[in-house]
Amino acid sequence: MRSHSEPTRVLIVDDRPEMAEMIADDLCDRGYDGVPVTSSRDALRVLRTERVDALVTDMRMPEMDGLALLRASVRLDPSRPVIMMTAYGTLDTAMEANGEGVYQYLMKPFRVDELVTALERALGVR
Amino acid sequence: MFFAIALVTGLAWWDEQREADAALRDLETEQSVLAASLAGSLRAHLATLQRDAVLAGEHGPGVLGDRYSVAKVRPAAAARDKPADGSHLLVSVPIDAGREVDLGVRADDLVDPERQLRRPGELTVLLAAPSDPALHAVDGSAVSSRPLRDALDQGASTLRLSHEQATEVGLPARTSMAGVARVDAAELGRWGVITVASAARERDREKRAIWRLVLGVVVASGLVLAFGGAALRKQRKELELERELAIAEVQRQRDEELVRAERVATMGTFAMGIAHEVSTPLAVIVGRAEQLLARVRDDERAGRSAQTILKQADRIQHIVRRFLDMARGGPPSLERVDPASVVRAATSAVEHRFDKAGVALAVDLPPAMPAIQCDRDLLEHAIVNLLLNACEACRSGGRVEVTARSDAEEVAFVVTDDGAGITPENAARATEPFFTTKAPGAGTGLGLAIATEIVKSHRGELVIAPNPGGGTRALIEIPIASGGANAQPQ
Repeated sequence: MRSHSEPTRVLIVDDRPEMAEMIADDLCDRGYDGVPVTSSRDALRVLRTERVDALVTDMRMPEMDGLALLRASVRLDPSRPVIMMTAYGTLDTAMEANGEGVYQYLMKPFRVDELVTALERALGVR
Repeated sequence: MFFAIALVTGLAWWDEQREADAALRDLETEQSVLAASLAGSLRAHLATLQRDAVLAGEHGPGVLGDRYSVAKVRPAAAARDKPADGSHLLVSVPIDAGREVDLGVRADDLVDPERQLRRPGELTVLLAAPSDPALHAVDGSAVSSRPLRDALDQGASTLRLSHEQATEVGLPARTSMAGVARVDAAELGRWGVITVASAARERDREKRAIWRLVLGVVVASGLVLAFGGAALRKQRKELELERELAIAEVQRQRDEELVRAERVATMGTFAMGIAHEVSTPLAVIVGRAEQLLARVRDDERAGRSAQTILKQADRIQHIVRRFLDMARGGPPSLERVDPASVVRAATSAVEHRFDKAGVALAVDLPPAMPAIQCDRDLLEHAIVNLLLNACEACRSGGRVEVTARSDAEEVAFVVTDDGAGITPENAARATEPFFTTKAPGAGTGLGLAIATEIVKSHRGELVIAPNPGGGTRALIEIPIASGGANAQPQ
């Protein structure tokens, strides 16, 4: 559980480091603790060993995709919100029909404001 | 048609029979008239004969000259002389009490002194003398005919003779018509004249008419059958040609549809790939530009620059979306789909290509499978690409099989062929874009790459490998839809 003094820790997963870093930087500017990783495997390691309050992950990634990572995260902590990033025009956009427990889908390119709004709402609900 | 021929033949036959019957009746009437006329002649001659007998009684037989072969006056009780030969009749005329005159006379002198009726083989004239059972022909022969005798006795005026009866009177063995007339000559007794005409000519005519009829019918039927048959064959050929053209047209249309679908799927897959590839860099550009914008609030020019970056990124995104919408007619969409229905749609799209190539296409689907989440058109196109590759790998007479199986996690579509096969090295590279083993110009090398892209976008996997039994085996695995319930029947 996070204490009041510690900033909210958000794990950002995208196989493109520029993307993960850009979001992490932005979140840090806004008072969050954004942690960028570039593979599901790294993300899984962090999820298992560290405190993560929210997970923001890309859908399409090599080896283990966003959906698999989502399932792993739900298994570790069902209450942790997961925000999924997808690209316009790919089949990922329709994945929400699956009802796998994704809090919100964000379609790239999105404004970080939208991500922050989604995060605030998701963490407020907790 | 055979019924019509039989009907026409029957009618003509019936008409011919009627004509023949009418001809026979005419002949019968002629004979009866001829007999009556000859009876008149006989009556006159018998009267002359009676007068001559009286003359001979008074003046002796010498007064008659050589008009008779026998001319003799004798007592009534004395025996009659015989005529000199068979051609003469002996007529005994009583002239007074106790005396009779025997006169030998030629039969034809009594009925046909002009010898007009000599038509051997066609017509015979018979004379019946009183108390003489034989009939005397005018040519001098004596004939015996029971039916003619009966007709004479019974007072009939005509009679039809059968073949045997005709031969009895010296006519050909054909139906003959007889005319019968009687003369009552008082003291000279009751005489009879019979004319018998052979109906051979009528019968021959009838026979010829029948032959004409049969020939006419046979020739006409033959012509009708020959021309009708030729016309039918021509029509059938034309129909077959039309059918072939129609089939070719349908195949052409289906080919066009397939090519169009391929184009749409190829463009759509490219567009999806581009949209996906572009979206992340764009998101980075947009995000970083926003961060810059927040930091350069005091620098108007830098702020304007950051705004321009944002606007241009928006524009790129807009262009990519339009490209995708144009290529596909809309963004791809996932739906719950029965895997079997996708296989059926794919086989139906390519079966004309298999027909053309002479390759058998077998489909083996389990009765029920769990639904998958997929874009129906894209997945169908991926399977179409595998089927077309398999078909092209086979020679005529080859066989391609497509099956679908499912387990708890995924549905597998397998396409196997017994064609040329593939090396493990080529199999590993088969899904690379522009990789092809076909002759230059025969393939773009994109089919399997597109199929791979489609399968990947469904979180699935496409594997090409040599088939253990020869040929090539292509496998597509697609995760089943969460919820796992069986697909709704399509």
